[in-house]
Amino acid sequence: MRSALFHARLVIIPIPMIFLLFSLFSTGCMDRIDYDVDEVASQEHLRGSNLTVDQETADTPADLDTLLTNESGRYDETFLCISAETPVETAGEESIESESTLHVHDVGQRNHGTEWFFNQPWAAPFIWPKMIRDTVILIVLAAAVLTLSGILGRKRG
Amino acid sequence: MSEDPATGEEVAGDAVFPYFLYKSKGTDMTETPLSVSELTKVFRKSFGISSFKAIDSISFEVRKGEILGFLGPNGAGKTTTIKCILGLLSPTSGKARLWGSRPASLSVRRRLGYVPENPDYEDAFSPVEFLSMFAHMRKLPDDRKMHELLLDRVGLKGWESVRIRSFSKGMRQRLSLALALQPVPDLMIMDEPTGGLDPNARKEFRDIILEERDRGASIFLSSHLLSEVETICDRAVILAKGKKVTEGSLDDLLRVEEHYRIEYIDGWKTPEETRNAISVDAGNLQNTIDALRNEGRRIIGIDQEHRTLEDVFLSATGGGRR
Amino acid sequence: MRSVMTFALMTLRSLLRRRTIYGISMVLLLALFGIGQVPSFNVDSEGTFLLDFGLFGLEIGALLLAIGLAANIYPRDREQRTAMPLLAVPLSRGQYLMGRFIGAALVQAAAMLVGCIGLMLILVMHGHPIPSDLFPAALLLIVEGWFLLAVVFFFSFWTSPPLNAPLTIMLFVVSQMTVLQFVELFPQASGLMRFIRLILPHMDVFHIKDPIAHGMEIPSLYFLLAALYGLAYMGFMLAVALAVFRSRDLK
Repeated sequence: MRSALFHARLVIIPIPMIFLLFSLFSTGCMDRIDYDVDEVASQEHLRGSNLTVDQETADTPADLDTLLTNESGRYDETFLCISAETPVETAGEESIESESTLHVHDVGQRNHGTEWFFNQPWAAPFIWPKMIRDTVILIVLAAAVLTLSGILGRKRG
Repeated sequence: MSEDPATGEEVAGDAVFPYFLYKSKGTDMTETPLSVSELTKVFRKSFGISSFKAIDSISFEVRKGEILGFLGPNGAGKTTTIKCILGLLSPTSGKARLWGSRPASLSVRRRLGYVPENPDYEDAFSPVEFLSMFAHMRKLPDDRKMHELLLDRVGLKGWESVRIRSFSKGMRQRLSLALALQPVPDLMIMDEPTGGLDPNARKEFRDIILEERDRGASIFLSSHLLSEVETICDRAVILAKGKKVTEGSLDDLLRVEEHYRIEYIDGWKTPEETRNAISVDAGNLQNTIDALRNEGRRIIGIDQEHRTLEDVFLSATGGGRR
Repeated sequence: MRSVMTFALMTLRSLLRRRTIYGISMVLLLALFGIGQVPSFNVDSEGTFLLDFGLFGLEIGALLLAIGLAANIYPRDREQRTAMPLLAVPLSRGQYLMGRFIGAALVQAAAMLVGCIGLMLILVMHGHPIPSDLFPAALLLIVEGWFLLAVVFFFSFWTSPPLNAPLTIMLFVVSQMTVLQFVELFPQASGLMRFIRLILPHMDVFHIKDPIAHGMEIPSLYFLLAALYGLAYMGFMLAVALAVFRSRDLK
């Protein structure tokens, strides 16, 4: 009986792993399955919105939540856009030196200067479940590979 | 008399290696220590286009408490066989079993001592550091005194803390013997352990091998030194071109069946007395004895003829190379 | 586990006795020092510059350490036959791999922590505050380094060291690309390219130098998620490396 169970585990363990893997892949996120914000972001995120940035907040290290939520508390981006022709400058300095280099986008208009900055996983919480999903997939795959290589190793020996 | 360093008790003879300090490993004493059955290994080259059969359906076993010699010319497949036994190579077909278990089983490998051919070790460590690390990996007690005793036994006394990078080839072989002896093995697998050693060192190795056999260990010894095998082995297997060509006890291998050697004296009790010998086959034995007696020769001995192991080896392997 | 940790400590001592780690660490520290000497444009941007390039240097340092430490471990063991006494008797292949990996990972982590401390010192010397996220960011980069180390080990079991380094660097570079960028490399087979990009790791989860350099606070939960992702990928690469290692003959 023990011997039968010992040998049976070599078949029992991989089967639910493969099933779990298949079900994860078939959850519908195969359509857009990567972390490209262009592909997976919601329309609200892609449209963007404007939010005026005070001088004080621009000078000090900004909190993500403060920057990303507007007064109504909705998820939002703050884009303090700096023109491509100007060198990298802080907001405070810009406001003193040149008003023409500092501008704010209208509602619905995407910011062109800082979208690269905010198109990273840390700034897009809707990507985080995908990271969890991928983590689980990788753990399942690792266990499956280990089990299969162990089975093949026993057959060879 | 000398004092056992572990218990302080007096023991007879020179300081013996304190085997009793190691826990019983619970070896299954009923299983054959090493059993090889129809072992075949084919190496594939050039992405599988060509292949080379290194060993072909060889079978033998090492019995408990015996020393089995494993002989063969260069390229016969001896080291390949040993690597298959140890799980370093996966056989194409057939199997090798250690006490009935697969070579990959760690529990059996911890009862094994292995002396590789041309051994090498990371040269940044000293012998005692190596013994300490191996003791941990083998789940043995890490006792510096034990390590020093072991190194003394293999002739490395005074070199315990010297980095291996300054060791000669012979010293590295002594270290590999020490590592092989560390777990008080029930089976030792030795691949050309005395190659390149001077005669004194070879004798020391032979003495240690015989001590281990007397302790009850089984030894699997692959060697080119036929005189050494002839001296210490109980049985021998001869390999040629990947196949086993002969196997048997040394007595059986060296004895020439159906052939006798008659020693006699010419001119008994005369100034021209001389001793001579003649070889005859069994069919002519009686006739030859009668003829010698009729000629007045005095027969002093009749024995079955024996060959040397070299004769057996050359005859079995076709005189040489693969 | 005892066998693995003993062998890991043996690996650590062996690597520390080689010169590779000191060479790479020296390069890393010199690079950080060099970054600190670059003339600043103004007080405010200097801190951003130091953090940005300092963390970038740590990331590249992780890659160089992974290649320098691990690319030659197994090939050297195989050629010098030092692997045989280990694999023949006291260690299984899995224990050998884990021991070597843990030893190299400890050395890599120590070197990167030294680099992180160096960066902190440079910031302090130039009168800039140390961001609260800098240390967690360095830990995340260490996880990235461990993932790259696992990749190097994977390649080392079936390629030679001169091929291992460019393969690892190629994987590192490609994994930084977005899907669109990757598909544009070969648009005729966009489906296949998307599938390949799916399999390759998303290294952008480790891109935390930008928000830190610009003084933005990163949610703690994100650090945890990114670290778990990195560790899971590292585990997967080690599993695949072990599968390859188990199938290889030790000639």
